[in-house]
Order: sequence, then structure tokens, then C-alpha cells
Amino acid sequence: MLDWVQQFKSQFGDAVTTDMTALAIQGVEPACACAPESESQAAAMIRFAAAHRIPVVPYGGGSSQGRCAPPPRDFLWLSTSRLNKLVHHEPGDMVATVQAGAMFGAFQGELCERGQWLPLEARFSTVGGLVAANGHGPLASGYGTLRDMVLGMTVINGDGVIRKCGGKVVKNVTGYALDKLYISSFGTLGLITEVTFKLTPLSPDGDFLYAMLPDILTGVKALLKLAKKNLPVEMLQISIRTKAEGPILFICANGPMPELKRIRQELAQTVDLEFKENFFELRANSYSRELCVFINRDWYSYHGAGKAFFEYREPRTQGATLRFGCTHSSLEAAVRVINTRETELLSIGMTGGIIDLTPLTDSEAARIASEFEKLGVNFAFENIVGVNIPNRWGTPRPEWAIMKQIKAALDPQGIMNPGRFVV
Amino acid sequence: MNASAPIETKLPAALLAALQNAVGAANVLSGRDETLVYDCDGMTLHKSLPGAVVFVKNAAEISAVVKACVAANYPFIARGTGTGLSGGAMALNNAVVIELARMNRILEINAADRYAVVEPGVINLNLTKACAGHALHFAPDPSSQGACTIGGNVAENSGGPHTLKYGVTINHIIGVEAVLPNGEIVTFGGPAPQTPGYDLTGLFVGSEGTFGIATKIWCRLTPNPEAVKTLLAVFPTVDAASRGVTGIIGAGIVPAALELIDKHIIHAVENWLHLGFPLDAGAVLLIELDGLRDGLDALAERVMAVCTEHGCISVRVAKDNAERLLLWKARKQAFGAIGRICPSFYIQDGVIPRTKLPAMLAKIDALGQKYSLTVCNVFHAGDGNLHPIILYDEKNPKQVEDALACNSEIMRAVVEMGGALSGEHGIGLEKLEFMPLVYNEDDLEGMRRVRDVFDPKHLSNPGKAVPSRCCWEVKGHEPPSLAFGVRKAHG
Repeated sequence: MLDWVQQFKSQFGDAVTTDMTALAIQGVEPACACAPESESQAAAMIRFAAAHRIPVVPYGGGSSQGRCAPPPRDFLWLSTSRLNKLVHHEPGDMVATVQAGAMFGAFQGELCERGQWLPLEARFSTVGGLVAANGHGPLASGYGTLRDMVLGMTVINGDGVIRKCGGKVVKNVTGYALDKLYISSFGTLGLITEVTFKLTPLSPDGDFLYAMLPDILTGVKALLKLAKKNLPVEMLQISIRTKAEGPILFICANGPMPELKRIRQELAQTVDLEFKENFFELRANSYSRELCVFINRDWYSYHGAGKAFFEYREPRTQGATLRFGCTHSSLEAAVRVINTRETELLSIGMTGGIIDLTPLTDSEAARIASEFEKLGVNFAFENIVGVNIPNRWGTPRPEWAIMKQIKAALDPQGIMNPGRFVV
Repeated sequence: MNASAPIETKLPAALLAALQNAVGAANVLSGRDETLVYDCDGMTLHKSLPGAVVFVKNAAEISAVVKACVAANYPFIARGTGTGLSGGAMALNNAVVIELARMNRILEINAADRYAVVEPGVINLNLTKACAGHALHFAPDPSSQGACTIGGNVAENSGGPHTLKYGVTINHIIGVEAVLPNGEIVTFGGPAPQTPGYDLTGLFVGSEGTFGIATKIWCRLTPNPEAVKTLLAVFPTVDAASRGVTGIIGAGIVPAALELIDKHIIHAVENWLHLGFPLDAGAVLLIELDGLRDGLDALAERVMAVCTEHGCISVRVAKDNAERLLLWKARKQAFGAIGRICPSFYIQDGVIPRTKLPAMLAKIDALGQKYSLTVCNVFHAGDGNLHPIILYDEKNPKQVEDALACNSEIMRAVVEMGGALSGEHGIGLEKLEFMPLVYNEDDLEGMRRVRDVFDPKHLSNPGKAVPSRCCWEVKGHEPPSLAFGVRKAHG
């Protein structure tokens, strides 16, 4: 046992886990694991780690650990599982504050009970993990991403100091928007402990429609045609659930019945596809709630091998997940780059998507990266197993030097998720 | 460490020569007579004469100017059209003003991908006008949108009435090219989403020019709604109107805009523009709904039902676009109308949780009475973004003192109710002293560290946005800038 582990255990006692079984991340076992019972204890642990220069891996639900590079050896596994309370929800303000370790599904359930929700997909994530990894899901085209929903947060930076940013009101320009910085920082600047969100009301009425597609490109062309109509839809997404079933175009919208009727008319007039309903049971007056359940419980579980998107513990023998972001006009070209192969898992919207690439060779990964860069498409190879991809986030960019300086400013000892992200 | 050397506050002759060399002598103003009109922005309480005003036309020139200032250890500040309301564009310590108004080209409108690329001096409304043929618009719409620049909107993270549904500036900026405070030109973000790494675009927006100067901005364009319905709901009292607001939001309805206008504003506007607003109303709500025309009637019915439930006397629905624009004219011209009835006014920008609106408006009314000052209200009620307007005479020192004291008490009440100091005007110089009410020293130190990354010498718009490490900010004392380098307008 390492010297610091003994010291850590004696200092933090019950908060330290001794059983390391199944705690390995991408095959790397931690030297020690802990689950602080309070924000102040978490801060003390990070101060300890900073003093001893111990790498810290913040851990929520684990669903995005595969999106980063493997952790360094002998790291401290720091779980937020005990920081899981709903701090505040005032439906009249459409604002809620929750601790980072709360499972997103449970948090979402509480919001739904009071007529509101967050239009995000995060079945296996904690709130903090979702924010740190900037997860969103198939509703982003209708509601935006976390940048549009997070109002403020509390973070313990790498120096072990607890810091607030943003606030708890829906509009706020008080101080720098560090909360935007922490979204998608993958724990490299600190441990998120609390987040305040702007919420969306549940809608009683809506339509959930789908059309089976002969191939992905037909779906992409339909997406592009529909996007030009500017219909107020909340989901416009192509998904492959199983190889046998093939691609499906999902469209959903909420609102009063006359509006939904009009959207159906526009769909019929715009694309030559047969739209169906009843993909799942949609009870009367509970549209958004049912959609929420579908998105957070079944969106990926309908995929035959959906776990490959987020299950790093049972990795493929060789392959990767590719996440990409593009403009509308480069979507078709981007899909052509990756559509030269068959895939069992795919989810594509107007501004990018995620696709499982199994198997994947080194040269194929390099080809995709090169062609994406020529097209101006942003990308990240994730959940990489058995493939050598030197620049999983693309060719290093000049602004990464600024990111490194920001990390040094907020994590002076460089202990937070070191070597796992762009910085 | 950073910013340890005292900055220069008197423009050295060598720097003036370097500035003239960088952009041409004809593009540099210096001396009191030439720079006087640049001594403040829309927040006129505090003024400071710039050391020089430099008109630039591209990023390379800005870079050269910034490098010259850095070499002389002299502060600099970017300025658009000076419509800001927090002193953010005021040249503290006689900084060099880098005037961006001539960088006013719309470089690209990409309708297919719904973005535009603009220079920072483009007037907000001009972008929307330029996109009209594509049925697109730039959603942030500050009341000053006919005059304010998009560079200024980015610096302050500006809002406007329609941000209730569409979000503030940060939600509509997808990339920025900027000259950093060391003169380096960098690009953050761009047309494609999911740029790898930290969201530096999101961080840059709202940094009030302390992280550098935006020279090219990628703006997201929003499709125009197919139909719009505008309602004017008349209430007997401000309290009833504010309860109507919480009722609408509480019912899960998110209008495109939801504005409250009180009787003081109604009278001021009506006496000037004669728009037919009800003079016997305690307050009105201007409610705008948009979307597909098929669903709007049903939504309007729901809104009217909620208003009636909260004591609404009557509802006027704009019958056409001309009447809609008339109703909006009352809202957009409110500050101008106030200017006609009072020589000076002080506009607040705090945000509170929407359920606290009735209590907060009662508090503001009580504070007006306490200081014998008229405080008007015209604000983005749906967001809880207050704009109490304190009327005073700047030639009357007692009234100035009372206006500042009243402002201070309102700020404190906002914070006590769980609110924020600013929703869209920024902290600037004006609200700096209140920052410790919201953030503790650790929080502020985190922000300073990030600032140090961008501007280690604190030369880019120093003394704004976040209190620096001096003791005065921590203790809440008056900033030293008010003791030297800045004169109060009334002083």
C-alpha cells in the first residue's frame, strides 16, 4: 500500500472504500477510493491530494469515463455518490438546484412530479457527470445543450477551494461565466458539487412520430429538408437501434392540437416518408412525461448493443465511438465519410451525432479524422479499445494553450483528471 | 505576481506616437476637446477622460494598438457606441479607447447553416435587418438595439425582451475571433458545434472586455416565427400585474416576451407619444406569443385566463403588425420618455426569482418613499429582470446621494431574495462594490485567476467586471477609481 493511502484512510476513515473490486477505469485500478459525505470533506480530500500530488478522478455514474483517455496509475477515485440531495426546486421560478452526485434519472423524476423537466438524456449519469461531460441527447435540436440550461454551480477546484459561479436566477451577468467553462471540462478543473438548472415545463399534448428509412442518407436528406421548414419540433433525429431494423427517423413536437395537426401536414408535404405513431404507449395528457421516460430509459436500451455507447467496463475487443459536430450543410458529407461502413449503432441530428465504429483500424480512424478536419467537422473518438488514435480530439489547436493555462490557474498541482482530456 | 506594477495613467508622448504610427495620425484623437464625448457610456454618473481615442478598422490594427499599450504599461479599453449602462465602456484611469464603430461590416450571412459573421461594430438591429430576406433574425434585442453594437452585446452578454424565450447573447454566439490583451489574435469556436476542449466562447461572452477584444463574431441566427400575437393586459396595481407574471410562468407558459410597465412610465410615454395606453392603470403587462399560427389563439386564451384570475381589468390584442409595433414603441421608448420628465435617472438591472416579484416591487416602492424619490418600473418581468429607474436631479447633491443610497438598498434586497446584481447590463464599474454581496473572496479569486490567464498585467479594461485584489473591494469600500482618475458627473 502506498504511504499516502494509509494516511488518507486514517484521515478520512469511513469515507474511504477499501474494496477496489470493479473500480478500475479502462483497466486502471485506483490506489484508493472514497465517497465524501459532505462538500467540505470533499474539499479536504482534494487539498490532501494537492498536497501529495495525487491524481484525482471524479466519479459520478461512470457513463462518460470512456469518453476520456485512461487515468494515470495510482489515482484517487473520488465518488460524488453521497452528495446526492435535491437542494431546492421552486416550480414557480422554473429553477432547481441539486447536488452533483444525484442520479439524473431520480432528479428528473422529482422534477416531473412537479410538472417540469430537463430535456436531456442521461440514463446512467449523475447530474455532475452529465454537466462535466456536456451530455445532452436527441432533444438538443429543440432545446439546446447544457450551456443553455445551467444557471450556476459550485465546484471544488484542484486547490481544494470551494467556489461558486453563476447564480439561481434565469438571467445573470454577475461575474465571469465560469459555469460555462466547467461544462465539458471533464473534471479537469475541479469537482462539481452542485448545479442550478433552468427548467422546462411538461407539456400535456404532443406527437411522437417515426418513419423507417431505407438507408441513413435518405434520412439525412429528409432531415435537411425538414430543417428548412423551421417547424417547432423538439426532436429531429435519425437512430439505428439494431442492424436488422435499420435506421429510423424520429420526430416529436409538443403544443396545442391545432399546431400538432399542422406539423403533421407539413411533414407529409415535405418528405416522402410514411410516418407512424405509437412507437410507445402515449397516455393522454402526459406527452412530455412519457417522452421523458422514453428518452431517459429506452432511447439507448432499444439499441441491441446500446451499452457500447457508455459501458467502458465491458469494452469491445477493438473499436471506438465517434462523436461529431457539424453545420447543416456539411452533415451529408460528414455522414458519407462514416457511411462507407455498416454500423449497428448510430444517432444523428442536424448538427452532428454519435456512431459506434466496431471494428475500427488505425488507418480507418486516421482517414475519418483527416476527412472531418477538411470538412471543418469537430469530433472526438471515445471508448477506444485496441485502436491507435494519436489525436482523439483532432489536431491540437492554438487555443488549447489557453486552456492549459486556465487549468494551471484553477488546478495548480495538475491533479484533476490529468492527461485525460484536451488539457 | 500579476498586475504588480502600477499602471500609467497619463498618456506618454511615445505611446501617442506609437498609436499614430499603428493606425495613422488622422485616426487618433487626443486632448480634452477631442476626447470629451468619450468620457462615459450610458451610465453617466461616473466619467473619465480617455488618454486617446483610436479608430481601428481591423484585427491587425487592434493588435498593434494593444501591443503599443502593453509596451507602455498603459491601460486600454474597447468601445462600440457607448450605450452600456454599467460604466463598462468608461475609460477608467484615462485608458486608451479603441473605438470599434468603424468595424461595422457583416462579413457573411449563411442562411443554410443559420449563422452570420460580423465585425464588432455592427449595430444589433442592422444584422436582423440584413437577414430579413432569409426570414432569420439575431435574437438578442436590447432596448438600445438600434444603436448598440454586437461587440458590446458580446462584452456585456446583453439581453432584451425576447430573451425570455430565446435566451441572452451567450446563447446566440457560437464563435469569436479576438485580440488578446497581449496582442495575439486567436479564434474560439466557430460554425460547427462541439469544439474540443473548454467552452472559451462561452467564457469570453460577458467578460466585459477584460479577456480581450472581439474582432469577428459568429452569431447564431434564429428563424422568424410564423405568427406573433401581442397582448396588452391592464391591471389595477403593480402588485396584481406582478402576480399575473408569476401566474403565467407558474402555469408553464413561456411567452416570447413578458414585460411590465408601471403607471409612471405609462404616463410619461402617453404624454409624449399618445399611443392610447390606459392612464388609469396601475400597471400593464406587454405579452408576446409566437410560433405557428395554428396554436397561437389557444395559447392566448390560456394567458388571458391566467391574467383574469389575477385581477386583470382588460386585455387589448394587437390586431395587426402596426398596432403591435405601437405597443412595443411604448416599451422601447420608455427610457426616452423618462428623459423628458426628469433630468437624470439611474437604471438598475438586478434579477430576482420570479416568485419574489410582488414582494420586491413592494420593497422598491417603499424605498422610493423612504428617500422621497420617484422610482419607475419597466422591466423584463418574465425573467425577473428588474429595471427600477430612480429619478433624480444630478445638480442636486442631496438627491444624488439619496439616489445612490436607494440604489444600494435595492441591490441588497435583490441579493437577499436570492437574486443577481445584473441580468444584462453587466457589472462594469457601477456594481463592482456589490460583488462581495454575491460572491465570497474564494469565488472572486477563482474569477481573478482566470482573468490573469488572459490579462496578467490587468491592462484590458482594468477595474471592471470583477474586483481586483486590493482590499477596498473586499471590504466594500468605495473604489479608489472614484477618488482619482474618475470624476463624478455631478462633482
